[in-house]
Parts: sequence; C-alpha cells; structure tokens
Amino acid sequence: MSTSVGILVVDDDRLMVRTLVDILGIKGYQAHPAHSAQEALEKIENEKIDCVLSDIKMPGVGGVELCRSIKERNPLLPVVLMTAHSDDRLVRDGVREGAVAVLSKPLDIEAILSLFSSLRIKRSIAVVDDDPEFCTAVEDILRKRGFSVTAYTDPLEALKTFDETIHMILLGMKPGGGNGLDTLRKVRELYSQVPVILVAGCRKGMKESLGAVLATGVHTCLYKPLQTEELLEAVTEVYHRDLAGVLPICKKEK
Amino acid sequence: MVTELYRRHEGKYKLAVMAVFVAGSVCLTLYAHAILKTGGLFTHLFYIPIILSSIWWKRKGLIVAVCLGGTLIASSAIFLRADLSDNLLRASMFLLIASVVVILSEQIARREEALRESGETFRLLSEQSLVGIMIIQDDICKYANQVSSEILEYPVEEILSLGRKEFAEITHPDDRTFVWGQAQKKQKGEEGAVANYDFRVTTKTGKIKWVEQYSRTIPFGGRNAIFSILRDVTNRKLTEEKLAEYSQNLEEMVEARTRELRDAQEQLIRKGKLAVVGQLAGSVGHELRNPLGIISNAVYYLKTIHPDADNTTKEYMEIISSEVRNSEKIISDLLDFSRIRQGKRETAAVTGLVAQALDRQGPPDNIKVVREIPPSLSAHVDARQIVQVLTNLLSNAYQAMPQGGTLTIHAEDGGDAIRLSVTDTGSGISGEDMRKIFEPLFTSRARGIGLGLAISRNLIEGNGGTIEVQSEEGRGSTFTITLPVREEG
Repeated sequence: MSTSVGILVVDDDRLMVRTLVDILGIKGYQAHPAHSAQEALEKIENEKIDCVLSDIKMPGVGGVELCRSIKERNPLLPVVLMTAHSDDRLVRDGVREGAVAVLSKPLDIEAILSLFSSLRIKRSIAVVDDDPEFCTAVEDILRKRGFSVTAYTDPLEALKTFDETIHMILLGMKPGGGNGLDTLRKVRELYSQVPVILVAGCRKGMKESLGAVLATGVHTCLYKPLQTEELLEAVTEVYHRDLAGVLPICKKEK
Repeated sequence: MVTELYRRHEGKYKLAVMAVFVAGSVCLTLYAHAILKTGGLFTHLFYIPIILSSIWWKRKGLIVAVCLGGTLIASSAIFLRADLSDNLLRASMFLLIASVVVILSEQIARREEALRESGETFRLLSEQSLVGIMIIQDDICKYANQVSSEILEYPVEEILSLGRKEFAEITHPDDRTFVWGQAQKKQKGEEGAVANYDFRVTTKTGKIKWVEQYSRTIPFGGRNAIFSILRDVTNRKLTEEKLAEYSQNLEEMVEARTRELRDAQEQLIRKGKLAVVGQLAGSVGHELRNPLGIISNAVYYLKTIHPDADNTTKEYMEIISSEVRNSEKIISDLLDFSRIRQGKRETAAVTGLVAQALDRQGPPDNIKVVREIPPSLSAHVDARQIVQVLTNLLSNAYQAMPQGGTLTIHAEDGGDAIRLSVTDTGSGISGEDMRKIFEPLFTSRARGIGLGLAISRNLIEGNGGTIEVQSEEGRGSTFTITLPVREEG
C-alpha cells in the first residue's frame, strides 16, 4: 500500500470524517481519519500522508492553527481547509497560513478528487544543468522529499524527452546566460504551461535581465551556491500553486 | 449795504448822534443865556437826547440828563443871575424822564432777553433732537427739523416749499389713504385720531423707509396744526420681517426634523430587525451546512459503489443530490444577505455592473432583456454590493414574468447621481404589498424568506443611494435606484 496516496481527513464531526474516508477509500486512496488537531499531528508523524484535508472550526486547536503547525514540521505537505462558514476572514487566515485552498461545505467531491489525483503527478520535476554534480545533489534533496526527479545534463536531450509527466523544470543557467537562455526560450515555446525555476550561476538581476516573454512562467530565480531551504521553498510554492490550480473555483487569492 | 454798515458800527453812530445832540443842546443853552440874555429856552428839545440815550444805554443815559440839567443851571446862574428855581425844576424833569425811560427800557430788554433765550431753547431742542419734528398745517409742512430732512432725504427748505400734492406723495401709496385720513382728523381737531402708527415713505432718492410717527393737534398761528414726531424704524421693520419669516421657517424646520427623526427611527428598527434576522440566518445556515455536507458525501458514496443500481434508485439519488444543492443555494443566499460588509467604494462603470449582474442571473429563454445604458456612465459605489442588488432585482423581475416578457434596464445621468431602473412586464405589485415591499421578512411568494429587497435597500442606502418602486397590477413594476456619481462631502 506504500504506493497509494495517503490522505488525512480531519474534522470533529465523525460522520463527515467517516463519509469522506469511505469515499476516498473506494476511490483508491489511503484515507486516515482524525477527529482533532492533536490526532492529526500524530497521524502525520506515523503515517505516510500526502495531503491533509481539515475542517477549520474544531473545538480546541482549529484548522488554521493545525495548518500552521504542519507548515513548521513539513512545509511541503499540502493542506486543504474546509469550512461551513463563508467568512472571508477565516478564508484569508487559512490562505495566509499556507493552505493550498479553502473549500466550503458541502464539498465538491469531484473537485477534491481531482486535486488528490494530481498530488503525485505534480511532483515530477526535471532538473536540467550541464554540471552532473549539481544535478545529483538536487536530485538527492528532492527525492528525499518525495518528488520524482529526472536529471538531464544535456539540454537538447532534455527537450526531446520532456513529456506531459513533467510538471516543473529546474533550469541551470551559465554565467551570462549562454546555452541556458536558448534552452529556456525553447522550453517556453514547447511547454508554455510548465513552471520554471531558474538557477543562475551569478548573483542578482538574472530574472530581470530576461525578456518579458521569457520571464512569463518563470516562477523564481535562485542563485548558486544553492541553499537547500531556498530550493525547497521555491519548489513547494510551485507545487502548491499547481495543486490549487486544479480546483475549479479556487478561493486562494494571490 | 447801508444797513449792513450801520449794524456794524451801530455804537459809533449812536455816540456820534448823541454827541451832536448834546453839543447842540449845550450850544443852544449858552447862546440863549449868554448872547440873548433870555431864560425862555425851548427845553422840550432836550428830551430827545435824554430819552434816546436812556433807551440806548439804559442807566448811562442818566449821565446825559445830569449833564444837560447841570449845564442849564450853571449857565443860567453864570449868565442870567436870575432865580434858579425854574431851571432846577427843568433839570429835575430831565432826571425824572430819564429815570422812567431807563426803567421801561430795562424792562423791555429783560423781556427781550427772556424771549431770545426761550427761542434758543426751542431751536436747540428742535435742531439737536434725535427725532424728526414737523409741523403740518392744511396739508403743507410749516416746520421741519434737520432730522426729518435726513429721514426724508429732502433739504429742509425743499420740504417747506413742497405743495400739497408733492408733500402727500412722500407717503407710500399703500399707506397714503390711512395716513392722510388721520391727518385730516387731526387738522380738524376731531376725537379718535390715532396718535402713534408706522408707515412707509418714499425718500427723494427713491428709497422706501419705515417711519414711526407720534402726532397730535396743536394750536399754531391761531389755528389747528399737526405736531408730528418721526423716527426711522426701517431696520427694526426689516428685523421684524426677518423674524416673522424665520418663525415661519422654524415651523417648517421642526416639521422636517420630526419627519427625519421618524424616518431615522424606522430605519433603525428596520436595521435592528435585519441584524437579528441576519445573525439567526447566519448561525442556522452554518449549522445546516455540516449535515448537508454529510448527506451529499453519503449520496456520493452510494452512487459510486452502486453504479449498476436500478433506475428508480438512481433517480432518487439524483433527487437527494439536487435538493442538497438547492438547500445549499438557499443557505448561500441567506449567508450573503446576513453578511453586510462594509462597502469599499470605487468608481465603476454602470454597464459593467449590469453586465456582471446579468452574468450571475441570466434571463430565462422566454424573457427578452433590453439594455438602455449610455457607456459613459459611472458611479462611485461598492461594485460587489451593487451587483448583488441588481442580481436580486433581476431575479425578482424574472419571477414576476413566469409566462415570459421584456425586462428593460435603463440608466441615465441625473447630475449628482445615476438613475438606474429595472422594469419588468410582469404581474405587478398590489398597493398594499408596495408599502411593505422593503420590509425584512416580507414576501409575496410561496417560497422565499423575504430578505432580498430589505437587504437591497440597506446596501443601496449604505452606498449613498436610494431605491424606490413603481408598479401597476397586471402591467409590471419598475425598481429605480440612484447611485452617487462621486464621493460625498
């Protein structure tokens, strides 16, 4: 069962948890019930969880606080909040604490299923850099966090083998652009929907120096030597934004 | 010229005349006594200088009498050496006459002085008076002081020279009959004339002034005349008029304020009612959403695990799903209504607002929508709130036309505000319903909670606008809202 996607459902309403867990179960997910924030945090420690679906209003620790605690321990883990209240303030709070989305009850099951189904898919990253050591290092970091990584040291080869399964590109840039810039241009032409994270050799002003057309779709620009925290933060942001994009009505206001 | 000269040198002339008379008398005496050696002198002539000097110089005139008497006695004693008794008698006559004249003339002088003094007092009183004084006889002004001339803006001489007609015309035409009627009575000395009244005059420069008059009949030159005191009360009259006007306005203001207060109170009650309804709706809505969520989850589960269920079961599943969705819709509306947030007002194009509302609340197939909105119009409002109101009006209009019809959205520039109306060709509203249509919890429909128009009114008023309805039963209704063009104040 280790290959199935793990979803944690948190709500103080036992029937709500039960019905959601059952639905997710028949849809092939490994659904874990939790009836309080404490229980949820314990389950996250002990089980393999890919996404948390939590109610906002619960006795004791609420969904927004739970979301904050999860972000402290595991920033990458997507949290989706749900609420019976259409209170703007709660929605804003949830988004600020890093929730992927805030959904209102009754839940649109189809929408939440499509989000869950893309949890794994959205984790495939292509790393393109002509430095094999850099590729290996990045691959290691991201694999540990559950991403599926394909590394390419040859940009041309990368462009040929890219397909629908790639959802994020980490593109290394030589000082002054050079090869990397051509690659970026081609990526933008061929895979305009795929978000790109640039990793530049020199510091500062890389993103700004790119043309406006090239810059669209470039999520952010990182600089070598690459800090693990910076990399993870950028990757997490792109990952969560992509997940939210799956939902038909996204309450996440950017 | 001559009189002028005389007046200036009166004293010297008198002295000269007296010197001639005295010298003549002395010469005459000496001539008669010394040359003619006769005592038969016509001494009556001597009375002329004695009386004159006594009149002119009062007691000093006695000196002339003494001198002449002395000269007569001395001369007769020196030149005639005759009996002096005759001349002594004459001299005493001189003194006696002089004394009598002095006494008389002194009395006359005192009387003159008193007269002069009283004349001066009168002149002072009249000229320095703070009120206008006039004496009118036979409809002509016989006397007018400086103040009355200032009031009427005619020089004193001109007032005195005015004829009857011209003088009467100074009185304002509207007051003339009364004023001159009273004047006639006083002129004739009749009883019952009004002593004190105000009237208007037209001054020489054409100004209209209010004067207050006190007048009564007095004897003047042996006949009746009118003694009249005038005071300019134009300012007082104006103040009085303003005061009257103000007290009139005050009544209206009090009425208006009372109306405002009553409206404000009604609005407070309405808002209070809405707030309570809103809170209740909010909490009930939230509480219902959880069970609804569970029902919808359960149905989803059942539908998923029984894909091969029989048609009736499938149909019933679908019924549950769709009713859950309906309930969810009602609750969403309720929550939207219960949550009146503080508006954020910005300039928004009216066409855009209407388009958004039509997007959210599209017309059924049998209803034709006509838009008459100039693209240049924009309003300073919270767009979301106005769209909510328009959506509500549209939904009401559609429901009023179940058999189809035409919905007209018309907008026009009303200066400070945009007038936007939504007209349907539906069933219309009865007069009784019209009065309560904006009340919370009022509804004419079988389904509905009756919050839509109440909320709409609150939202529109919160945006500085108004909402009103016109309707004819069987012909349709028009809801008109006004929206401010720019920020108030």
